Amino acid sequence: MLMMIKRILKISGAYSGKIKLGIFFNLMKTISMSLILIAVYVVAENLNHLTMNTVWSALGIVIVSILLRILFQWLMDITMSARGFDMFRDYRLTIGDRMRAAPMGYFSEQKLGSIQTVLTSTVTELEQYSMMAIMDLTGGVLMALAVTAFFLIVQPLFALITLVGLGLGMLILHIIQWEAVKHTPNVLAAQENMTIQALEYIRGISVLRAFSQADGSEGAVYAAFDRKRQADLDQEYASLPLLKIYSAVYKLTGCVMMFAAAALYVAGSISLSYCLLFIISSFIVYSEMEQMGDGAFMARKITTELNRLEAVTDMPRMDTSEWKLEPECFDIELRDISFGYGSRTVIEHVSLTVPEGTSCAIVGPSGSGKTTLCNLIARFWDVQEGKVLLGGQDVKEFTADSLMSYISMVFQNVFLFHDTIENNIRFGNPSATEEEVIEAAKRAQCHEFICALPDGYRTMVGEGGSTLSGGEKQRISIARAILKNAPIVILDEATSSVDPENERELLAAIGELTRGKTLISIAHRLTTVRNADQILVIDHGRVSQKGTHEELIQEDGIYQTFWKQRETAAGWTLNR
Amino acid sequence: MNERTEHPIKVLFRFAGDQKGKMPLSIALALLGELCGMLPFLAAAMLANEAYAGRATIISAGQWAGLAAAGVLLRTLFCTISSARSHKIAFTILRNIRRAIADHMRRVPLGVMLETPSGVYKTLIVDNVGKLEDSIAHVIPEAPSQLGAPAACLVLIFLLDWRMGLASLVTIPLSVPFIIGMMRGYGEKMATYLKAGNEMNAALVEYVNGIQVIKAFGQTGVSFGKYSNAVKFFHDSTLAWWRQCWFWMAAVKAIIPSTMVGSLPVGTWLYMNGEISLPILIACIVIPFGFMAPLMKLAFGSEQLTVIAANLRPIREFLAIPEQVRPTQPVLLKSSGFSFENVSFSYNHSREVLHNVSFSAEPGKMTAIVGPSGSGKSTIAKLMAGFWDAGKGIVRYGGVDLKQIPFDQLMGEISYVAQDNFLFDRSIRENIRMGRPEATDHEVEEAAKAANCHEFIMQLPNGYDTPAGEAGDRLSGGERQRITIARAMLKPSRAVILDEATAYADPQSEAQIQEAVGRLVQGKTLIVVAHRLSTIQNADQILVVDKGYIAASGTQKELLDSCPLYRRMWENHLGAQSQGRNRKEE
Repeated sequence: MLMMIKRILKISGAYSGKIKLGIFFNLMKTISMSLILIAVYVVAENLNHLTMNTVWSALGIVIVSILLRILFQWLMDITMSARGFDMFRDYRLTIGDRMRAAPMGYFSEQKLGSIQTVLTSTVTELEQYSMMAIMDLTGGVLMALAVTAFFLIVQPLFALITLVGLGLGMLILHIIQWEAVKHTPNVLAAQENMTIQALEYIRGISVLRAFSQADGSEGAVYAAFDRKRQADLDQEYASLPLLKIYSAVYKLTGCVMMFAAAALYVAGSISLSYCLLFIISSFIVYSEMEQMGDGAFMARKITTELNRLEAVTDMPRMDTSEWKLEPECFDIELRDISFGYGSRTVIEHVSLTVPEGTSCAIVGPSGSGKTTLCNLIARFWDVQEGKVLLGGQDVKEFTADSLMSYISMVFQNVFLFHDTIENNIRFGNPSATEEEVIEAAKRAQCHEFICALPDGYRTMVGEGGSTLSGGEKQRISIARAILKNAPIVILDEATSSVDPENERELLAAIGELTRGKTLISIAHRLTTVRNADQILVIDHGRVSQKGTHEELIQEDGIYQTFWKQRETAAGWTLNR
Repeated sequence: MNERTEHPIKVLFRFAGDQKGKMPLSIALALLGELCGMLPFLAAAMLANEAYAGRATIISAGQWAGLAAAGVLLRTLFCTISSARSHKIAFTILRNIRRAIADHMRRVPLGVMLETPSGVYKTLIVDNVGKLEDSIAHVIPEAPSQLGAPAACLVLIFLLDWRMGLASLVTIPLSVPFIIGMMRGYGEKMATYLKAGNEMNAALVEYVNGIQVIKAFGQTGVSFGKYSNAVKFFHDSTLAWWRQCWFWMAAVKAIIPSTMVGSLPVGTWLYMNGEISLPILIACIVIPFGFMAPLMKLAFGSEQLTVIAANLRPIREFLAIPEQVRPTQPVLLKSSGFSFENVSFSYNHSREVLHNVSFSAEPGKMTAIVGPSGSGKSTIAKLMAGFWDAGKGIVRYGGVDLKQIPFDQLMGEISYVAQDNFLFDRSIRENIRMGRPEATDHEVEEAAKAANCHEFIMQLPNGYDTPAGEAGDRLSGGERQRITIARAMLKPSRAVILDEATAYADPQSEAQIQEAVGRLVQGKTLIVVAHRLSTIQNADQILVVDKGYIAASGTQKELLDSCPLYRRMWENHLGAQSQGRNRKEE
């Protein structure tokens, strides 16, 4: 638990001073709360000759205690709780800012998913609970210590008893956490297993139903649900008695205090008023501590969330240079480049030159490294060996943004913003006029369907807006790229099937985008491949063949097989 | 009974199954425990009284303290048992909700499952129920204790002296002005807070998901500006609200548990005037410590009810989707032909996508369904496969209404092949064998050979015994698809529906997929939905679908003559085949 507070203090950076101040206010608050014991003492002291004066002073002390408690709680909130909000605002901003500097390749779908979860849910949870947790966890201990200090002045034996009780309680809390840690892997494994089984069940449901496999995977998913329930129960059964014992320890210590108070009074060591005071305090000393059992759960939750946060905030930085790339021409050259993810090599010793204004088609089996090669040209990652040159300049020595300003990429999955169609297209060049936007839309074969929409160019895209077909979205993204008008186009040719009409329009749009540009494409269509100025065939990350269609079709090799298969496939007729 | 307004706890207990009757005992145990928990209060009062009267001895002190300790131990025992039992109930409810969702998935129209990304249902079954877990696992099990303790305390204190009871409750009316202060403008501020939160989340989600596009167009500055504005606005408006609340909240938090503000002066005054005895005074001062803390927790817990209701909503919505009802006794099917009689259909009661469609697909023949995107051609195929039930009209197979054919029987008759390439995480052999569980290893391998899989399967480390999950990275999309075709081949079905099955998901192995499909369909009633018209030019019958109507039907030759739409599609098709980026000629 102390660990968790330390971690929060560590990540709080500049705000840690304020948080420590908040903990001090928390101490003051608990001391104010203990003041009510003085009120009890006043009554006990005057028990034999009570007057209205005693009644009023008891009331007065309780009211002062309440007022001070309000004051310090409020001070704690405006120093510590408020900084909690600042702190997590800063985290949101930092993550967003780091994303700007991280390499494009870093953002896999999975990575984006976890960043999104952290930003929308993890940070929100931490924002809500972390300061509250510090308050509650420190509050209980401080309260017990404050009372102990008070006892120390009056009767050291009681201070000793409260400290022993406190120590025992903390020990049990420690065991609870330890038990929780022991069971956590089991629960997490059951959770993960359940996720896997549920996904398999859901994704396979059409197969399960089509092949009438009544008990196949359903058995597995049921078993996974059972296992999760059992793991949760095991964890609860292990910690539950401990939690109850935890609060029982304080109550039992209270019984010891009760006995000691009476015994000391009988022995004549303390006055009657102290005896009464101690009996009543035996119910108050730990009143805050008893609530802390829940704190153990909160601490566990916060620890998991902190782990998630830390996993995301560490992002690689790409740009070490401030220089903007300003090449004299747009010849692309790969000079003996190699690249791998971790230990897996994906690209090995590839060299290629694409002169400005020419086209190059990349062909190869799936998993051969086509996409990675294109991503290296656009500097999604830096190559590990060799060089990527644009106009003779090593792209590594300049900012990634400046390189990107010369490249348009046409991705297979299209991302449009929740904004108007016009703004989505204008994203390609924010300073474009309305005429230029419309011109780009016309060239991308979008103008017609956009005009048919209820609000034309001002139609909102996405939820609550118009639903566009896949082909239409694709063409809007091409209009965006046309407006950007970059000298280099990297195209990942669509493999999903579209109907002939859409396909024709899509091809026309791509034709407009790539006219006169340097073009690198991952090509599947025969015509794209045949018309390319050069074809690069890669296999297992290495260059297998290089040349024009006329040259390669003569050679024995992957290309010839590829070409024959594609020709057969394109002309295939189904016969029963 | 209105489903929406039903109390969430009541809804939960419908899923309690065999644990349903066990809650009362758990509550009784908790109450018993909390009653035992009252003993220390009484013991303290009695001991104080004896001390005051000068009658206390070490022995009597030991007896009273022992009684208090016994009370504590009994309370611990009973509450632990109660809590363990109610945790079991809570986790059983969660498991049963998951089971109910999984069961329902098998009975809703398959289309419901297919039209939604699997991630959505995973979220439903894992995460939504998981969120319920966070609330349920603490609300249900602790509620009996949290209710029991204050109830026992209140009863006891009012039994001892009603005036002391009222005096210790005085903090509740005292805190009312502060609660009002805290709630002032709550609705309006809550709305701002929610709006700012939603706007921030939308900005976050868009920034994160659009980061590649943002970077590709060099707009990081502008986009990050929007992002940070949304974050700052949320921060500022939330903090402003909290700043206003903190004072009032601090007051409420300080006042409510400070029961001594009433009980100490009032008790002292009553004692002073001889209205109550000393033990009652002491008991009434200490007892309230037993009820304000759990009451405040309970107030917090009631907030969880809203959370539970919110998380139950998507689950209940899913469970409310009507199931497909089919008889269980097999029926006599006259042939393997399909027919549509005036079939209309709409997804989720929205716009109708098929209007009054009638046609028949003869047994043993090839029927192709073509048309522009969104014309409804794939919907026709899905209705034939029983993924959806026709809205109006009748879909027949073998002369019988699909709704009258048991699921298992229909599924045995029809193979529906799409681009889907899902493999279960078991061996490749078992994946293929799912087509016909009684097939021998030899038959499995024959099917694999026919589907062009045998060769690459043999190259896997353990051949047919390689688990599909392990082979996952090594298999391309096309290879996985061919395994699913082998699976379909093993199934002795009489009709095959190809729904865009050969669209080139994996261009490198398209030819091999086509070859496999060609073998699969031999001798069967064949329904084909295809974009590429050359594929289906030899069909016995081509249905041209346009805007949800059958625009024309006939052979390729007939349609080229009579149907302008088909002619245009054919020309487009030929055009797209040869069209390309012909920059050399520019």
